[in-house]
Amino acid sequence: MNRSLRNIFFRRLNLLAIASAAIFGLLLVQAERVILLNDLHNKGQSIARILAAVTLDAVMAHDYATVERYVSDIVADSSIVSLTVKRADGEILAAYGETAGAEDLLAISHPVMIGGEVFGEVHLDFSTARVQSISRNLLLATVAAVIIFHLLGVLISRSALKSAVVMPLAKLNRAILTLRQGNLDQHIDIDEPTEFADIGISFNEMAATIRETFDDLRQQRERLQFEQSKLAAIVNNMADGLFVTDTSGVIISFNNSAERITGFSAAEAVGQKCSDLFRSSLCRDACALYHAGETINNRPTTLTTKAGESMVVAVSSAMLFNAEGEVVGGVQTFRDITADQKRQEVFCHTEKLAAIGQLAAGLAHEINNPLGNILGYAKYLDQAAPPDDFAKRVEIIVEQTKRCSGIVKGLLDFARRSASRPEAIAPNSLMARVADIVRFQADKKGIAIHLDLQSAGMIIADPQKIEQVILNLMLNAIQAMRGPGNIWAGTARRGETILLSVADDGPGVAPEFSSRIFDPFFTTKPVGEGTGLGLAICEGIITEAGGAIDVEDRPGGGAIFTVILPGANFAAANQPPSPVSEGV
Amino acid sequence: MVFMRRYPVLTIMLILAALCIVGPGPALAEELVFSTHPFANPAAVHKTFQPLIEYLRRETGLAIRLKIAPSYTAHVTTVGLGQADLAFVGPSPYVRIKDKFGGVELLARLRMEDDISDKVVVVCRAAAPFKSLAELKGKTFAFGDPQSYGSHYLPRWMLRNSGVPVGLLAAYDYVKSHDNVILSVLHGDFDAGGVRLDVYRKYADRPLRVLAGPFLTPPHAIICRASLPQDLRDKLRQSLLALRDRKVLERIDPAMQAFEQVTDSDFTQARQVIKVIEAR
Repeated sequence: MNRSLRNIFFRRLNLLAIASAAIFGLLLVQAERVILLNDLHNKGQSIARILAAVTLDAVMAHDYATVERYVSDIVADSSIVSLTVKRADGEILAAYGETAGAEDLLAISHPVMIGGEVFGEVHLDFSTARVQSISRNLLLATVAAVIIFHLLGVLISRSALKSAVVMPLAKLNRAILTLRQGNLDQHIDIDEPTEFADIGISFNEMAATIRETFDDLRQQRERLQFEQSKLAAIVNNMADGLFVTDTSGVIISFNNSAERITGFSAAEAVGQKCSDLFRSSLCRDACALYHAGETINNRPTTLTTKAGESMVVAVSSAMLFNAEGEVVGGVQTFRDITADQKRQEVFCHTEKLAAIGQLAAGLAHEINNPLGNILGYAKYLDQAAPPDDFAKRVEIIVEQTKRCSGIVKGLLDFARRSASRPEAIAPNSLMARVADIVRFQADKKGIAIHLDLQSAGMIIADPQKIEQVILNLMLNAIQAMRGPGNIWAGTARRGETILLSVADDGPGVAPEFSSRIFDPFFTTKPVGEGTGLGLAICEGIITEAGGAIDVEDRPGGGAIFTVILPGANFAAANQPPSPVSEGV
Repeated sequence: MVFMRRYPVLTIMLILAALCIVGPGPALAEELVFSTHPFANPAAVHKTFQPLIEYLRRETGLAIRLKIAPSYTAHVTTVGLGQADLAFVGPSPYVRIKDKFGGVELLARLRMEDDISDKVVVVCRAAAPFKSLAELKGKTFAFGDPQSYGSHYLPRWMLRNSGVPVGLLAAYDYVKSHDNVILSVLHGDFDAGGVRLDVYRKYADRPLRVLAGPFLTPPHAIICRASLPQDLRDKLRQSLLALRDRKVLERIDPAMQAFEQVTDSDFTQARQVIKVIEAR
């Protein structure tokens, strides 16, 4: 079935017309029937009344012929089936017509009165067939008239609908189709009716808006293409390798430097899982997706190149978000730091030797004292003395000897060159031990060391390297102070991290040096007194341990060095994966 | 002359009035007037004679207008005074016009099948106990118009000859027409009445019966003003006698066969009856 506007409209119009014709026709016919019957009744009453009067006059003059003539003439009216004039005694004076078999009769009677007495009666029987016929004809005429007017109305309405609705709609539809085909320079003119004229104006405005929007989009697309080209050029020409993963760790982009560094082509890399491709813990170690969205900077880890060589890289990672702010992946940049690592190890070793050198002088003095004591008491061993005194002297000699032995052992431990061996360590004991080591030098300069060990937590790190960091920081503090002062060494827990701090009330760090203080070979010490590697090594150790180191001014003067290391629980999650726990 | 000079306007009005009173003279008018008595209602009378008038108009080439007189007397007067050129008359009107005014001429008589309209009967209700007119003494009797020969003069003559003059009747009345005579007897207003036989036949299905008769009467006839031109009178007579159109004839009376020659002697009986009745 055609569901066009015209068909729907005219189907409903037809139904309305038919219903209207039926209702109107029936009402009209019923009203007309009532009127006709009423008229017929009135007419019958008039005839009967007049005939009664005439009858009375005629009968008084014995003029029955006149009565019969009137009756005959009246009955000539086809609507009267029968007419009877009779006296009160039943004598029929005039009668015409038969009512036998007739249907739908309207009976009317009127008395013939003589001075208040009933002389007779005039009785008429009207046929309502004419009323029925008129009603039927009226109904037919009404239906015919309604049909004719309806047809005329349909013709006029079709014409009006065509010009006022269908044609404007067709024009609008053509314009929309053309617009949909991409021709945005659409403009339609509809003068009337005003509703469609308004729609036409709205359409023109909409087309203009779409045109402007398309122009904007085209310009934005061009800008975007330019930005993409620029970005691609940057990405492909940057020295660092870069790859992008989706949320499941599958590589979706791989730049030229990444190809160069790893040996994998982009075609080989794209579509592979990061962990599958690099066969290392790179993704787990350094992908922001695995670190609750934390931005990762230069975190050292390893990967396996296409050639099967293990490579140490520094990875930076950030989450990739879409326009709705949803995480859609991660962006990782990495660079080969194998050479840097080796260089740093050399620097570290050199710095350690320098530190040992610095310690040597203190140690010499430290050892000299017990040695002096040993020597002094040893001289008295061959002299007679009470047994108790002898035993006491031997005991002091042994004690002083052990002290020397301890000092030497500590030096040897510090000077030992070894790879990182992370283990759970208590920062409090580490801090206390280092304080004991430097206390001698501090005492020499009248510097008091104050310990504030609040952290009861554990860290995962190489204890010797962390001890080296703390030793460096404390020695730097002692060296920085020109005379007596204070050093505050402490530990604290802040959330999932452990803070190790070394503060002093010395001259502090000049603002212009604070940004360079961790750079290798940067030193404020006189020539020959420092290598400029101490803090750089410290930063490398701490970074390797997944932490950070920072310096700031101490309120009241001096500087505060703060080492931030992940607590044992957090650090455990970042342990290198076991061989069977691969995957991203 | 002095009066005329003194009142010129009044003089002219009087002359015009005099001319009006004198009326049309014997000269032929442009239109002939056909007069008849009101034997039925005007419409029926018009229906009866219109075809005949049309026929005569065609035959003579003259316009003819039907004039229905309001009564027998008026009809007699109109025709007697020459205010009608043609007239349909029964025996009584003819005798009166002829004897009282003169100036008329018989053209033709109506001849019915079995001369039915030229016969009169006395009727009573079928259940009435009477066997003869003589038994109507002390009874009531209905006559038609006093000027009607068939419904008055002849029945009254027959009653008289049967020994029942109207003075011996309990009551009698004139009920205008033959039909009323029949119907008033039928409805019991009167015990008996006199009517033409053809009228009685119309009510043959009613509970009535003939008590006496039929008695022959002079015919009905068409007469004309005697002052009409001779050739016109001849033309009218010849036209009537030549009429054979059944539609025209049956309109006048279903039993009518033709027009026939008629003479004044055909009305001798009527003239004697009327004279006797009116002498009493």
